[in-house]
Amino acid sequence: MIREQKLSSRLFDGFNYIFLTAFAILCLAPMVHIFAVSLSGRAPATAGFVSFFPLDFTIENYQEVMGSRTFLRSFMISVARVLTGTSLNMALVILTAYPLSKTPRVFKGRNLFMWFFVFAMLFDGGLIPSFLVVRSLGLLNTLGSLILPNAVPIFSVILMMNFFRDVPKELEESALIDGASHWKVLWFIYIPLSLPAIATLTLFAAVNHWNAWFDGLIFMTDNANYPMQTFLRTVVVELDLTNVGIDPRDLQRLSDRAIRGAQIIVATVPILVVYPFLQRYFISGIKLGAIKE
Amino acid sequence: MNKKLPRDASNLKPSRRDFLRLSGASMAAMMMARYGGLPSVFAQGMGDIPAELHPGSPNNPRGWTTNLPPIPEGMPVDPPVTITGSRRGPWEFADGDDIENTNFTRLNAAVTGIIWKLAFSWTDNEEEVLQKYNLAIASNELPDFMETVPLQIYGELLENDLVEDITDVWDAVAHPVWLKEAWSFGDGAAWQYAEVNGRKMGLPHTEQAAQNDKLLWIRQDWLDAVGMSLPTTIDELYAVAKAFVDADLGSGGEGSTIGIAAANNFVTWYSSLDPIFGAWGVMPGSWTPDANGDLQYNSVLPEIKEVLGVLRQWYAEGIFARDFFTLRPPQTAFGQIGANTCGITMSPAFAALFGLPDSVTNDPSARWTFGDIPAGPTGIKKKAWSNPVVDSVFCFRKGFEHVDLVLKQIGWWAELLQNPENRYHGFEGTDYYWRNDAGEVDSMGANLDLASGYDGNKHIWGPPGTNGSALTEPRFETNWIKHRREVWANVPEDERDAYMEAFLGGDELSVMWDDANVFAVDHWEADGIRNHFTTFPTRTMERAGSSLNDQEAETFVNIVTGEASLDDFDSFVENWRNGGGDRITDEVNEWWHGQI
Repeated sequence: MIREQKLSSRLFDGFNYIFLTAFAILCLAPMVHIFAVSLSGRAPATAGFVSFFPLDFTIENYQEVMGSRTFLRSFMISVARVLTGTSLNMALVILTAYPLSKTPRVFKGRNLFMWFFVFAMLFDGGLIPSFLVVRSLGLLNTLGSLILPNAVPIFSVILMMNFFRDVPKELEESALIDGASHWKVLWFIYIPLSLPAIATLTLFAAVNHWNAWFDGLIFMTDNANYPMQTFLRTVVVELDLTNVGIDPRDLQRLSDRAIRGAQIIVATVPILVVYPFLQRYFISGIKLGAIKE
Repeated sequence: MNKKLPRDASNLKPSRRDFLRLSGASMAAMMMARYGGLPSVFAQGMGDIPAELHPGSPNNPRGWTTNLPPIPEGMPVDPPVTITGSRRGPWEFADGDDIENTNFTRLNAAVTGIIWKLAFSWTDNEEEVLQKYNLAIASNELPDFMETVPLQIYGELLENDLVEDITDVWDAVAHPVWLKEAWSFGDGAAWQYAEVNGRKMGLPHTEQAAQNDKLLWIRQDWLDAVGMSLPTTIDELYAVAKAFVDADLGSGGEGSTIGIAAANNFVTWYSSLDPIFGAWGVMPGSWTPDANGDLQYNSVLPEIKEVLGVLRQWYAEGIFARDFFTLRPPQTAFGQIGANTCGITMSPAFAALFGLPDSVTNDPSARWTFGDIPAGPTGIKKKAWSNPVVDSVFCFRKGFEHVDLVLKQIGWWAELLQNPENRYHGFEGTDYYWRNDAGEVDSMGANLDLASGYDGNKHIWGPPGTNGSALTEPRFETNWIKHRREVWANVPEDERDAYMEAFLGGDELSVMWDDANVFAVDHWEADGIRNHFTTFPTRTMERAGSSLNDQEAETFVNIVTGEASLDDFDSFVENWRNGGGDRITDEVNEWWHGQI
């Protein structure tokens, strides 16, 4: 009996390993393929000969990408956006979550504010009103249009708030008894205790900023100001030329798969580099705050 | 045009200028005829354009001078006028330049007095341009000049009376040659969208003529291998394709050779089969006049059934790829032509730049040639006519006061850029660079922006009227090729300037591209089957059109692949007529007869 159970559970484990390995390979395959394409010569890449190993190995594609002013400019815009946008997000998330984590007895009107935020999370003004607001504020074509409209990620605020609530009240009370102000309590007690949550939410915010493309499309009326993902999207989307006049520019676009591969890789690497550093917080962070007492 | 003029041996060697005049005599005569009777609007002097704003390189040892056309009357306007416009992009600029400040805009401001401000820009992404125009409409902030407005937006603007009627201004100031004459091809085909109820509501968006007109591209080395010559009839085409397949000449695995490249659409822009339908005088998807002068829908004509029968037999014999109906046109270019599994494709002139180069790179022994499309059993030789009019329009905001200035500007630039005699080749330092020692112009490499996927010719970003907006003369490219071959080629080698040298000759494929381009344009108006239905879709088309089209595509593919019997064509015709086709025919003819 016992041996049989062991066998079946072993079989199950074995199957799990095989299944998960296959699944992981499946997820990795497109990335490996693009990487191989980006290191291949133009002709075999466009002819579709490249699978998982580069043919006509060359780093020319990367040289082209790094030498292109358009690409580098959009890359720098994205970097600036991630740095300023993420800092702003985190500052506002912490400052908003702290008072909201208090009970209505401590913070009068807390529920009203909470509803206000939840409402804004569930409903937004829609595309055109947002555009009109941003335009009237004179933010079109500025970095501000990318970071201000979503400066307070409300979902992150709720996660943060729940995390703060898990911090033992006794710590806060003892600090207050010692005469600390709320600023001091937040800075010396809550923030050091919440680093896993802060790391996780920072990662969320950074990835969101890095991958966002739609707001760039809408708020940048001059396409010289596109952040990288918006720029990449305009380059990578395949053209349908059936009804459109052929322009040599478009032909170029259709036949430069290798270059596009290199662009995709260059666009992915920064976020890949950030992940390992935040990974350990990421796993413990996301479940913390999920359970409330 | 092409013959060399006899030269008197006793004469001294003519100078370059003499030679240009001599050999270009026919062209010059043509130009004289064109410009002889220009109205006084265009007869003004050159004005004072500072030398540093001039394009061209007159001071280099082997440079050239660009002739600026006469400045339109009343220009440059004083004080300068600021006009807002929407533009396509993205392009790269020289250091310190941006879209509002380039060589182009600086020269333009000096010539016209117009200062262009960017309202918004987009790349060629279809969704993106709609998004941007919708935002402009919603925020009630239309630019003065709107570039390549998609039809959907254009219709919306017309409905809400937001577009300026430019008919009268056009008649008064449009350039007689580079605007009025350039857009007079095909019985007013240029104006199919821009003109509404006889009023001009905008300017047409035209591209190169015969751009998608097919030629028969074929592997010369394979023809040699099977001992056959360039096919001129459908039967010969079949014999050659069959020979290629039987000899298995392709470089893929055994038995992987395909006879003729075909894609998921029989009538498409690359690896198309439209010349085969054309050989029976019909074109699927097109409306052509019948004997009574009514328009008829070609896809339901009995000739189509004959062609489908032929294609069905060819498919069964392995002429087409087993899965051809799943391939998009670029996939045939790279996966079949480029991969050298196929030696025949019916594709436009630009195949020499798209598909063929990959073929030669992957197999250096590949030699391509092109010929005319094959003739059918009764000697008919036709193909789908490619309309150079793109389905978007340039228009002006309702109430905009300076339409005349913009039209004059567009005419001036069109003349500068499109008349080969003016020797416009861009601005030194941004469009081309001077190589110090050899004295040759680096015409492409230095500013080719491969990373963004665009040919980074910065001059593309000129104001309206320059190449970036659109060509006005659909034969522009062909005129240039002819000019190079008929005028420049006759200049003695030691007297050619650097640009001439760079653009005469070239590698085998680029010469072939020039040949094919000229050939296609020469056959453009005569060999094309033109779709005569050139307006917005009718009511029933909007409702039932897409399902009818799906049915048609499915039936045709199933017949060719043997999934359905050939006689299923008859039931398709029946279904088409009852499912809205008859009503569509009535609506189309109502429009057609109302036109005349």
